[in-house]
Amino acid sequence: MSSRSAPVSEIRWTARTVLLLVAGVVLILFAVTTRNPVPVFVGLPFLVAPVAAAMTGPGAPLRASLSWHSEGSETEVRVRGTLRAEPVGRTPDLHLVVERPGDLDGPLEPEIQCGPEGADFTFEWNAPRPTVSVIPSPLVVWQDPTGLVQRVAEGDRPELVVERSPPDLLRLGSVRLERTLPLPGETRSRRIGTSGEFFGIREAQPSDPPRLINWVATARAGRPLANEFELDRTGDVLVLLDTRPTPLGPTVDARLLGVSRAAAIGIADAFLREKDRVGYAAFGEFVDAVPLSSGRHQRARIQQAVLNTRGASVAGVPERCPITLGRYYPPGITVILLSSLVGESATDLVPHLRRRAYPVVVLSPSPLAVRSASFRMDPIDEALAARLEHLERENLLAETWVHAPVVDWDDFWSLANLVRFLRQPQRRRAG
Amino acid sequence: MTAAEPRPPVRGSYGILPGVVLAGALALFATGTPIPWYLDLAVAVGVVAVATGVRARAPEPYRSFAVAPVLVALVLLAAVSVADPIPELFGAVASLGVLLWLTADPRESPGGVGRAGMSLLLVAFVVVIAWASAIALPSRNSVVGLAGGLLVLSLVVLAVFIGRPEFLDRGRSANP
Repeated sequence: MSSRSAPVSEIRWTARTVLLLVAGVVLILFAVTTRNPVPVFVGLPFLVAPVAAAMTGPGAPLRASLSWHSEGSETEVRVRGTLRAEPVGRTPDLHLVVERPGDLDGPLEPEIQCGPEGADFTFEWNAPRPTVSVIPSPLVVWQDPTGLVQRVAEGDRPELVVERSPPDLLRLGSVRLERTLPLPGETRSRRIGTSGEFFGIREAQPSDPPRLINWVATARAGRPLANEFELDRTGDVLVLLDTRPTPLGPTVDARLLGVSRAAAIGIADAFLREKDRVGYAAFGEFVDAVPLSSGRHQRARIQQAVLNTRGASVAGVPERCPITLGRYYPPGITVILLSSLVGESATDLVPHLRRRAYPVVVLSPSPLAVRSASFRMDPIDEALAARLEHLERENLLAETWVHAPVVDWDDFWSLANLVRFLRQPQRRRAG
Repeated sequence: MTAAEPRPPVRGSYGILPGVVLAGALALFATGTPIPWYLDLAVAVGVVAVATGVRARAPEPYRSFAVAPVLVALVLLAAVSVADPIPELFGAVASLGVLLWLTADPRESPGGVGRAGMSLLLVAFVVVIAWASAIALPSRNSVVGLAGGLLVLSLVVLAVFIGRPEFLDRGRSANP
């Protein structure tokens, strides 16, 4: 999270001011040409009003504080916050200028309720696909009630990150992964997921499964309590994002990358919750890697790396990826590759990873789900085209299955297929 | 904002009273013209209704120009008005009505009229000084009245700048 300060709060005139001034000048010219004083008196208020509005407005610097957060689940994105000016009496005239990320839909102006402590605002947006988006620091502008004068407010305004991952990922962490680095004196648990010696009782979290709830203690305390164990690390996993350009074009590539970024954060988060070690790498022209680690700091590191990931303009050669990964990650680590598998170089990446002893599971976001029709066809031709595209896609996935298991991801709000597949270790090894 | 996006939410009421005041002031101003009274009334009500509708329904780039029909009507009425102190006063009142109507924007927070009270009073004060000077001076010279109004405005500006020097202080203090 970062924040930026507003520029020095200078007075800005609006389009309405220009309109009034033009009307005032026209009226004065009328008065001069027709030798009639009436237009002078009609135009005088329009010439004086902007100056009066600026004089009675807040002095510089105007300060405003902003706090906000995002709520909702799946497609629903609700951004709530509070805006407060100093002095607070100026709050009703504050306006929020927000740059909405392209992955989200909805109105740019919020619902605002003014109260004595500030203005509570709500943006009701919609995420058509899973996304991880940064809402830049908004601009807070004071505008006089007549709409003639504006002044940019100063103050720290944090950025906001909106994450929407498929909900199935909550169950992904209980998957047993291949262990690559046993620590000295460490013994491997026979149980999957959260296990080990009993450590204590804590407040239950919404994400806790029913098996973890201590029902006796819950009944005694009258609030939900859960057992906590000395958690056992179950394995290491690398989330690898293929950001190379494809023949689909930059628009479809950007949409697929947005979905893949959301999945990458969701997958990493699910495994980190179970104390696994998780790494993240993005392969465009070169490899950007976050080494293996666990814990909240690693989550923040991966989130930042994912947010910084952009689509590459030049595709790197496939051999470069596994060679570079060898510098950061030990062979044998489970790799979840997020790639649309479109283009020859994309399908070539999987065998190169296998040759360097990285067991790969490919999660392939389907371009058919994000591609929009560029021209209109009649329904029969459209159905035929969709069928052909589907067959072509199936053929592509079948070719990749020779080297590694592939999960076709066409319903972006569900990763049930991936979770189901990862829960079957023998199928993973067979791949 | 594109046209396909939903309209921004309404924050306050539609401000019926300022609209009625503006229509009344326009009609009153139009009585100082040779136009028949029923046509005056129709023009005043129609123009205010159009402007209010555009302000409430139009998307953002066009909303700022909702006042344009009212301004055009004012200019046209002023062009055909009779040179007399009463039309001068009614014309200024109609212009003040426009400013009052601007404060009652349904997409802004309610209570705009109250918050803009000080600036509206300031404008009204300047207009009253100018009009009173114009009719009270022996020569009944409007230009002298206008100069008087501008002089008063200059004095008020000077008083405000002396009272609140931060208006002129653009630099940041080294020791805040």
